[in-house]
Amino acid sequence: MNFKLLKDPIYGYVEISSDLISDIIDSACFQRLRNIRQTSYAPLYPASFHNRFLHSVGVFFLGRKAFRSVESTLEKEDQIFDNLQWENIKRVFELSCLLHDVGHAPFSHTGELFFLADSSTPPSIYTKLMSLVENDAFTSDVEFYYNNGKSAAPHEVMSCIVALSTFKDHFSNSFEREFFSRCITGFKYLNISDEKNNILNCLIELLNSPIIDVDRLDYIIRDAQTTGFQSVSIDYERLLDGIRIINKDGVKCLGYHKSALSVIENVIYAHDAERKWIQNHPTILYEHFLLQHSMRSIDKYFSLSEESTRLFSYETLTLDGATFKDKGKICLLADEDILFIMKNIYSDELVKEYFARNCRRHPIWKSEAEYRALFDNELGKNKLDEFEIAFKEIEKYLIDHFSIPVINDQVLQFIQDEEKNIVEKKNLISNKDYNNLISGIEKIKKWVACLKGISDENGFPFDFAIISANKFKSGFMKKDLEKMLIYFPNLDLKPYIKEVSTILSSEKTRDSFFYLFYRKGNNNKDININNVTKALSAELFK
Amino acid sequence: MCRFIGIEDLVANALIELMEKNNCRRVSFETLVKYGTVVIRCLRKNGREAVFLLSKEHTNELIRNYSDFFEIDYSEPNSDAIVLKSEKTVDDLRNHFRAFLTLDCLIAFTDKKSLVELGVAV
Repeated sequence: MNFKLLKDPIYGYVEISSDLISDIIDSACFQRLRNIRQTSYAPLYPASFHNRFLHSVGVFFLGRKAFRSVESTLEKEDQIFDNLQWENIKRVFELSCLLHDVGHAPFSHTGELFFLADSSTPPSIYTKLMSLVENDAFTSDVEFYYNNGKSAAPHEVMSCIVALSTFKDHFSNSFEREFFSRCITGFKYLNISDEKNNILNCLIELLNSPIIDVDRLDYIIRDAQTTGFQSVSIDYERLLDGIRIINKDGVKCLGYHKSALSVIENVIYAHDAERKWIQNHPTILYEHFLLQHSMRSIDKYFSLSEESTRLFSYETLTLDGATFKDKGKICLLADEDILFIMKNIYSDELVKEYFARNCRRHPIWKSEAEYRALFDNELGKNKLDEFEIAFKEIEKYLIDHFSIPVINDQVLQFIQDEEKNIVEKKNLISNKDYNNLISGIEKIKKWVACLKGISDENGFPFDFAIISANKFKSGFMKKDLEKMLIYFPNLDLKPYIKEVSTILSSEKTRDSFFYLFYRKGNNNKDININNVTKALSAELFK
Repeated sequence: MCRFIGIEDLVANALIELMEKNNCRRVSFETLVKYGTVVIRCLRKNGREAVFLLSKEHTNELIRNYSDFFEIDYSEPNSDAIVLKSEKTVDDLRNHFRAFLTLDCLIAFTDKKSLVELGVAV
């Protein structure tokens, strides 16, 4: 087999077969990923312009390494596939690593929710995937997962659809299509009485696991390296060398050799540090807010065309594309297309703010620590909880009613009109519900009026945005993480990680807080934070 | 503009109805999907584009963001469910999740056809 080498800044030369290069990597569909940014961290870390193309190659590299590690340590009793089957499983697994993000929407996760915006339930992407795979067990499992609130992320489903439609020749039967799709979506086989499915589920977890997988491993390492964010070093070779299929109470599970424990803790630390210090930073949250609401408006603008195709759809991701009346053709939809539309076709206040950073609102406090320093003493624990709930409720009210969490004079006017509307339509709802709505609107009116008073008194425009952030809590679900197995060969023990590591004991209990963004007045002066904090604390609890 | 109905609204409004009519603090994911499907249908009938968000990631977010209200019950095989924590009352749910709804969403959440899916239609 002929190979070509791609140079990755992290892993060095990645060897890829010439066939994969010409058929897949050089295809328009895969090259599109060069124009999908991996993160929206650039406003905070200007070098952060890495893309889904390189990430996909990185996941391919790590996935192959992880598979080899599992393969080389497989017990005799677990070698239940013949050589040909096993080689085929390996090939399909590597394909799924390479193509796991090929259906990503522009601006990565910011755009993927729009894939769900159609008139079917379940959304048509699920039914399309099931019809492409053509496998009864897969259909039945996907329906089970969907009906039990465990469906995959929209971009994962879309990646399967794009890959299976574009690279048909790489899949010779429904088992290959099914295993490929399961690896990307994480839909494990529900029938584990078949031992083969049990082994295949372990392989699926290598790419899509709630804990550590090669996708997450690559982006944690790559994001830190590209942004310049100082994080712990992750010895991925040691980690992947430690992967084993372990028999625990008659079920095959993915676990790690004891030597990988230090790296596992580092991965968890690095992942949580990225969530806490980058993803929750107000600058990043505001950038995400601008993009998401601009894209929502653009989606609506395109949906006004007579065509049934949406802007965020399978069709627009392909080379053939889709044509929108009066708007032209869109194909290989990527970040640059959204930016072009925002610059030239659709614009509003948020779009202008996206480009002109000096027009953006500013956070009154700039971190969770600053928020706590400001309000903990001022309010005390009980009032602080009430305060946070109040702002969570305002944000929710604004998003539900306006799709955007902005507070200004129009909102104040709307609330007054809405109150009249509820009174007029009182007969449509129960008395209890009516009383709930009226008490809710009274609260919102009070809080919004309070913010108006503060902005008037402090001489800056009445024009706020509220964006919630998560108080720091590990992004790993405790229930999933505590079930990770660690193998001590010298002791012949396979305990759960919770029994040997203290990493789970640092879990916090409090949930979210919020950032309040204000707009500077004509004098461009910063506000006096202490004055605003005192006013907020005092006025809200009058 | 497409309206995304979050899992927290779906869960909370289902539990309000279940608690008030059946004194039940538990709603299975399967029931939630059926309930959500009819709620969405109801909103669409009135001309609103709407989708409900219920996936692994959204469920994790629900537990992260509303751990004071909800927890997941894994006790029944193949029927995971969301349970209202014992210290929370139906009034807590109403004050937090029903007071701030838009009127059309409230009507969809309490529509007779939606309640049929919860098994509490009168």
